[in-house]
Amino acid sequence: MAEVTVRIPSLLAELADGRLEHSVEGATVGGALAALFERFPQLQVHVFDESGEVRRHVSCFHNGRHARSAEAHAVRLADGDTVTILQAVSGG
Amino acid sequence: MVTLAVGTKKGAFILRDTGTDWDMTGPLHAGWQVTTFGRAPGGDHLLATASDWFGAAVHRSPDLEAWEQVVDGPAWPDGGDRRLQSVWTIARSGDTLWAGVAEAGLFRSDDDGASWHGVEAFNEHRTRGGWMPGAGGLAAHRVLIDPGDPDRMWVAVSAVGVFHTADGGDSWELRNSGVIRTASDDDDAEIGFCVHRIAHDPQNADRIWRQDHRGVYRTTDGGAHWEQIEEGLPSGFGFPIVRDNPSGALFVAPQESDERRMPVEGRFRVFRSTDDGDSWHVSGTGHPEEGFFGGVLRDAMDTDDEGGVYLGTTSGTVHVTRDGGDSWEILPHVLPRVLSVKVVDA
Repeated sequence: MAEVTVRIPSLLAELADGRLEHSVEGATVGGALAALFERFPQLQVHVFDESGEVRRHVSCFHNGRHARSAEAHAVRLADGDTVTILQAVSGG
Repeated sequence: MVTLAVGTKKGAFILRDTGTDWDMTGPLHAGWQVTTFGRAPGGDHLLATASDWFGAAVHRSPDLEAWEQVVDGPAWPDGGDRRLQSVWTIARSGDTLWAGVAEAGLFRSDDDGASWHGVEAFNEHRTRGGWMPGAGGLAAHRVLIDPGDPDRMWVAVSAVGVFHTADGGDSWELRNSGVIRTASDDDDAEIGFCVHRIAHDPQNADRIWRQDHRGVYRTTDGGAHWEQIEEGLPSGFGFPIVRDNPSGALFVAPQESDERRMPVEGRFRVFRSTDDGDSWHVSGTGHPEEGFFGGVLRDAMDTDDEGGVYLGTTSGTVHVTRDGGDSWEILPHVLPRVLSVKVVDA
C-alpha cells in the first residue's frame, strides 16, 4: 500500500469534511479512490455513473497524467503520489 | 410564520417571514442545482441536488441547516443504460416516500428516506420503449396521492402523460383521454403527452387540474376524461398549476408559447380561477406588469393552504400573496434561476 493524496473539487468537498485533499492508502489509482469512498461513501455516485465509468464531465489524473480508464485505474501507486478528481471544463 | 425553501440553479435559499420582513439564509449546497424539496415521515427535511458534472442525490436535515447526503438514494441499476440526472419531486403518503426522477422513473422509500428502490411496474411499463423527453428531459415530475386511499396515485411524466395506479403502484394505466398530444407521430397514440404539472382536490382526488404543453385541462373522474379550460387566459402554455385547497382557487402563470417561453407581451401576471377552472382572471395586483420576461418553472410555485401562494421565477425573483391572490409583492432578494419553491412551515 502506498500513502497518497486524493484531491477532489470544491463542489464535492462539502461531502468530505469540507476538505479538498485527503490522505489515503492504496495500491492502485482505483484502490485509492475506493479507500476515499469507504471513508466518504456519498462521493462515489458523483464520480462514477451507473456504467461504472468516471462521469463524462469529470476527469481523473494520476500525478498529472490522465487516468480515466479502467486500465489507468489499475496503475500501481508509490508513496507521495497524487490522484486528482477534477470537474471538467465543459460548457460555456 | 411561513418558511419557504427555494431551490435554484446554484443552491438553495431559506426565506423566513418575520412578520415585517423576510430573512434569507443560503445558499445551501452552493453551486449545485437544488431541484425539489420534501419531508420524511420522521420529520427530516429533504432536498435534491443535481449537477451536470456530478449527477444527482437526495439530502436530509433535521433543521434546514445541517445536511447529510442519503447514501442509498434513488439510483438506476449499475451496469444499465439509464442515468439518474435529477430528482424532480418527493411526495409522501403515510410512512412511504415517493420520488419522481429523470431519466424518468419512480422510486419509493419505506424507511424514512434512508434507502430507495425502483417501482418496477412503473419503471418497466409496457410503453417504456416509446417514452420520449420534452425540452426539460424525460422526467417523472409530479406524484399525487389520494389522501383517502393512498393506493390511488397519479404520476406525471414529460413527455409521456399521466399514469394512474389504484393498487399502490403494482399496476399503472395511462389517463390522458381528451388531451392534445405533443408527439407528432401516430405510432403510439397512447403516449406522447407533455404534461407539465398536475394538482388535485385532496377532498376529492378524482378532481385534477393539469397544466400541459398543449393547454390547461381538468378532469372530474380521475383522469379518464380531460376537458380544456382556458377561458380568460392569454395563453394555454405554462408550467405550474397549484390549488389553494381551502378556497379552491387555482393559479397558473401563462407564457406566450412553447417557442417563446416568456410572459405574454412581457407582462408577467399570475392568473387565478375561483370557479374550478371555468374562467380565469388576472390574480389581483402587484405584478411587474411590464418589462418582465421571467417565467415560472413547474416546481416553482406552492401554497400554504392559508391563502398564501409563493412562486419563484427564472429571473430569480420570489413573488408572494398572502390573501389568496388579491395582492402580490415581490421580495427584494434576486436569486439564481429558481427551480423549486416549497412551503416548509406555515
